[in-house]
Amino acid sequence: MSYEDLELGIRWERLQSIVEEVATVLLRTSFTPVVREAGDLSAGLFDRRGRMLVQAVTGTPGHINTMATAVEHFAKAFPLDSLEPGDVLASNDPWLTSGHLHDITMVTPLFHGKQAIGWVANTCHMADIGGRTLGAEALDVFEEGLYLPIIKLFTQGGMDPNMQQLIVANVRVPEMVLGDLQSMALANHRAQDRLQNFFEDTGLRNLEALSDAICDRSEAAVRERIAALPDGTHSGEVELDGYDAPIVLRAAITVKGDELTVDYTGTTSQVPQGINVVLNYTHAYTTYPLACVLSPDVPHNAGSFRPIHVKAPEGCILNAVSPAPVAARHIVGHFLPGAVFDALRGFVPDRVPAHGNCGLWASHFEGERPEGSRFVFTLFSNGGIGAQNGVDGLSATSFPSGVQNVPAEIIEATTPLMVHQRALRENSGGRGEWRGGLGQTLTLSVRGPGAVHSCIYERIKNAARGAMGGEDGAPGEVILDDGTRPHSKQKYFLKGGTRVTLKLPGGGGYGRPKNRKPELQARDQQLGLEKKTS
Amino acid sequence: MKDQAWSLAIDIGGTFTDLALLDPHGNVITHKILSTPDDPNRAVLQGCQEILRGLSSPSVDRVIHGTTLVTNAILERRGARTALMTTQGFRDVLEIRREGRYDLYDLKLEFPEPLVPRDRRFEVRERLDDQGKVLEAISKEEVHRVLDQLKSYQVEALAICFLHAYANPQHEQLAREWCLDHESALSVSISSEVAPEIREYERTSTTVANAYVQGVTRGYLTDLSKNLNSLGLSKAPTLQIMQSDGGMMTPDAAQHLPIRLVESGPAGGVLAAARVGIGLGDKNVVAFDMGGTTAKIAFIEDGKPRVQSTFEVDRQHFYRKGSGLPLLVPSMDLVEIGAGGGSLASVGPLGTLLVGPQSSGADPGPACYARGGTKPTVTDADVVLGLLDPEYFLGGKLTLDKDKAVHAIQQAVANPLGVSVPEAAHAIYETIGSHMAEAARVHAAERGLDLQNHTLVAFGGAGPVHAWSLAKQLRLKRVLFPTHAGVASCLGFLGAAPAFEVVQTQVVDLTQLNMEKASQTLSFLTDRAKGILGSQASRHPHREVRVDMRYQGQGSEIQVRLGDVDQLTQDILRSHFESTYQKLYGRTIQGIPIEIVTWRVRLEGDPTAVPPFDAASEGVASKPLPVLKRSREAWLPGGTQPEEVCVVRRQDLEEGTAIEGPLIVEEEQSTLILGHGRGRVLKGGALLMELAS
Repeated sequence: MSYEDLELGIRWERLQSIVEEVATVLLRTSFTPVVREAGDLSAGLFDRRGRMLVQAVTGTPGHINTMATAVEHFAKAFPLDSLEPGDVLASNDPWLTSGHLHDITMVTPLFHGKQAIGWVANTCHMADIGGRTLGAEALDVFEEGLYLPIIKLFTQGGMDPNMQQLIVANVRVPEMVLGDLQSMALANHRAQDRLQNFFEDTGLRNLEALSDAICDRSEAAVRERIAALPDGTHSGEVELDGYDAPIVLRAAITVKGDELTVDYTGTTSQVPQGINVVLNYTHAYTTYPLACVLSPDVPHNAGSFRPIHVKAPEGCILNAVSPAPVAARHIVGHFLPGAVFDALRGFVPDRVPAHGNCGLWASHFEGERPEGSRFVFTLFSNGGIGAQNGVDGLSATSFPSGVQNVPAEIIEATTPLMVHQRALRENSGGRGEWRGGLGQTLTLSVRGPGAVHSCIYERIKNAARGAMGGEDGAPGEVILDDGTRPHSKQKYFLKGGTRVTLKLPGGGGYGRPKNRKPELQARDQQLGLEKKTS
Repeated sequence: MKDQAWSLAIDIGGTFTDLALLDPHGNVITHKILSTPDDPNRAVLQGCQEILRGLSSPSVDRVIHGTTLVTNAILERRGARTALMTTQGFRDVLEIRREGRYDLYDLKLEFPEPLVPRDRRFEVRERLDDQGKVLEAISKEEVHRVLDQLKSYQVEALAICFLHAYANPQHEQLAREWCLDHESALSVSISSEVAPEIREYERTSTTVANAYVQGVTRGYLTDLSKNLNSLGLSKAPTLQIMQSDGGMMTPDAAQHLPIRLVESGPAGGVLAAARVGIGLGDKNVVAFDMGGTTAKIAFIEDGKPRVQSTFEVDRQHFYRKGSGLPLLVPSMDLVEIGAGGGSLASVGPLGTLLVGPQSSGADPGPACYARGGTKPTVTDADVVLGLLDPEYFLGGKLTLDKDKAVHAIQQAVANPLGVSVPEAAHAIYETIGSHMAEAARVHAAERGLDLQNHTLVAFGGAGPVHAWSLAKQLRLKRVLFPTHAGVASCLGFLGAAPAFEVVQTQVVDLTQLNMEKASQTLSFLTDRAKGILGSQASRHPHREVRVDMRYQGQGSEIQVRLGDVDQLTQDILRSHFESTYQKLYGRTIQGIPIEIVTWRVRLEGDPTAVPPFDAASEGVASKPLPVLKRSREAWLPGGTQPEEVCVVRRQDLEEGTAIEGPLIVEEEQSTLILGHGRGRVLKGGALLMELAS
């Protein structure tokens, strides 16, 4: 190794901080709650060959790698050397970018002097994209909103006026969407400025050699971790309630030498509702749990993905074929870590958690305020995480996304909803040597005439399974105070004053309950987390 | 009489207790002794006796005090046995938090234990709505039922936090009254007094923490007063307590709201940097403090330190937001980085050099301390590079073992990477500088700040050694090295002013805002702040009004500074909001209603004393450097190899001396590393350098 190599760490860190800064700018300026509250965005830097060098560490794993493959498509449509400073490309093609129309990816060529030296890209969730509002009801992707192929959205002179008019005419909140698009372009421009300083300080003329070093080392590190696993194939699966029919996600992981393949053969076929997942997104939620277990310390770049292969048969729910509806793809995608963990358990039994709630529970309300004006509100809630060897599962905590709740006081101050209870759901964590995380009990009602309540809830029929002898977590429930149980993935009218109680699922336990340390059990009983048993 | 006045500042830190005594002529005497964590007052008493020894019966009229007592009580869970009384349905708010995760890849994530365990959290039937209207009245029976249950828990303190109590304190006040009727010894905190802000998790967390540390603080302040009275001063000095946002409060107020003391030490350093900047006529400053384990960077805009309205204590991952207990406490807006003299260097799994955030700590410390540490640290690199003189560390109080530093770097970094020891050491030095620069850049980006015209002010034992490198990486043009940099917090305390901030949430659409009600709120808040400032606010205090506002539908607010407004109008609020928004985000949004969420009023008195670095620093650099007899080989920041660099002692530099870098300036508390550039020694001894471009 030469002295030059010693500087690799610093240069790598600088590139990383450039994309963090891009992400920070987006986070500050976005009008879309899920971007600000949960970091549903992404930013990455690419070399001349379109290889991703660094990616910002943001709040949700849904963008890992989807961007890495997206830029290749952009480069094909608009070769790098044909572009000029000021040009910005954009698309929201679910199959080329990140899986649904709400995410727009913006790609900007980077220059050193007159020479194009690479790309910077960011992906952001939009406040609106036209079509039906975000949900599973569309019958194909065309119903889901404005579909932008790879286009040149900006030139030196600003946003293409025709495209601008087209977008304005197609979305419900044009001010916000245009604002978000502007700041996405601005954020990419920040990377160009920072990169200019980087070139001045380092004397480098391009990113190619640095990119080789970053990608090769990351690849080698991931290969080393994979090689440490025994060769073989193990499989795992997750059963879900599905929209109106059960869904099975089946993962088979094969390790051969220093390569790892995840194959989803045997998974349920794509469905008529918009909960289908494109392969890009499947890839993201497959590499994410693998990285958590095998290589949390290896950054994401083109190299770190090389030894990992993800396959899903065309037409299955994890590799949906266009024009399948895909808007609510997270409902299925968020459960992939469970299937991957199950399969990984065959290789590293001690290092993976039992199943958890996994999916967010999204409650969408639309209705009238007592004084007559309309309101629309979406609330996300989380159940319990699965236990693993050495630790109890976290209660009422998001996984795999990082989406936070909205405080009850904010809900009541800004909507006609009332929150009557937000409590840990006692006895809902799967028993085991290590206890699954508890779900939560959330009781709501609406002031005034009432509201349409759209449920998008999972794990009502299929509990989070325990592992290694641990028991299952409690399944979820939705109950009105008159005892009715609404459908967990449909709309119904919640009359004013009627209370609806959501009991979110608990996480699965790990290891046999009889092996639980008595002091831990006594503490759980003392705190009322678990019932005293005779 | 006034010119006989002496002021004494005392800052208790984790390792050292610092003292600074300001005489009527503006001279400062400083002192540093080891802290006594089991009873912090012991070090205070000893320090006071030592610093006052030899002075002929000085009349110290005020003592300004900052302490880590509150933080430590929380970190070590040494507070009172506390219970929580809350609205039915919400006792788990402390544990459900906001449901997020602070690290996406850590499958064994941990959160701090709540200060009140679940079995001591009790619910009562009562309910307010968001406007403070009573939906279900609280009853005495309910409160008594809880008191009965409390008995078996031998509770010493009680936090009361009801839903929407920020909008109407009545239920909390009644509950407190009924509790005290029965249990007069109970120490009770209510959320409508501690932090009347919307968002139940953060407010409950703050109220509970206040109740938790109240007893400890009361006992401590009582002892402190006794000790001060035992010093044999001509009259008992006025005691002023430092808060996290740099304002001073009375001991009475501190006992009532001890949680405001949680992060007072760093506030002093930032205040000192702000004063230095004002003295220079340089109102935009990057305050940089680097010690043994942590570096702290704060931005000062237009002479004012940036203050934030929340703080997190007990972080499970020191540098991760969301991993600690949130407190609604106004505090200095700092970025903390795991970068200090003790930061460990190693080669990571990707074959790259890693430095920090793990630290060797005080024990065993860097390898060159020769106290059994074998892992290389930043200080070891500094010694190998010739930046530190092994014979003159801490003014020669500790002799460093360079061979041990060389050996440690050789084993852990140079050999695995196949480079020479000096190359490895230089890379360690540059890497730690890069960590700090990147953190500062992202922090500035989050706040929409451009650092280009800021002056870096360096504090702390390691700050002056690494300031040049940081300034170069941030492309700053000027670096200032103040005197007494090792006790900067104390100097900041000396120049601090009595101040207090009070808040009130009132969520309302701007167009619906009733101006009369708004003015009433402001005068109510002003009176409240005056009441808490008490006797401190004898003169006309300066008032600053800030409002947390947002576009309807957004999840978080921005703070809009209104200054001391007399006439509030919707237009004033709108235009201030829009210009603030524009500055932060580069644009405003038309067609979306603007919402007011929380009012903040801060009253600030005048600072009593003026520490020496306030002196204006006019004048030219006319005097030559003293004849330089010493030099050593050192590898300077940004250099490609070691070079011969002159060395001077700081005490030999007079006001007006012209300085040309590269140069090493040694003082007892630190070593100043100056690269290529020019500068001069200012009145009072501070050194101002312009970096060569």
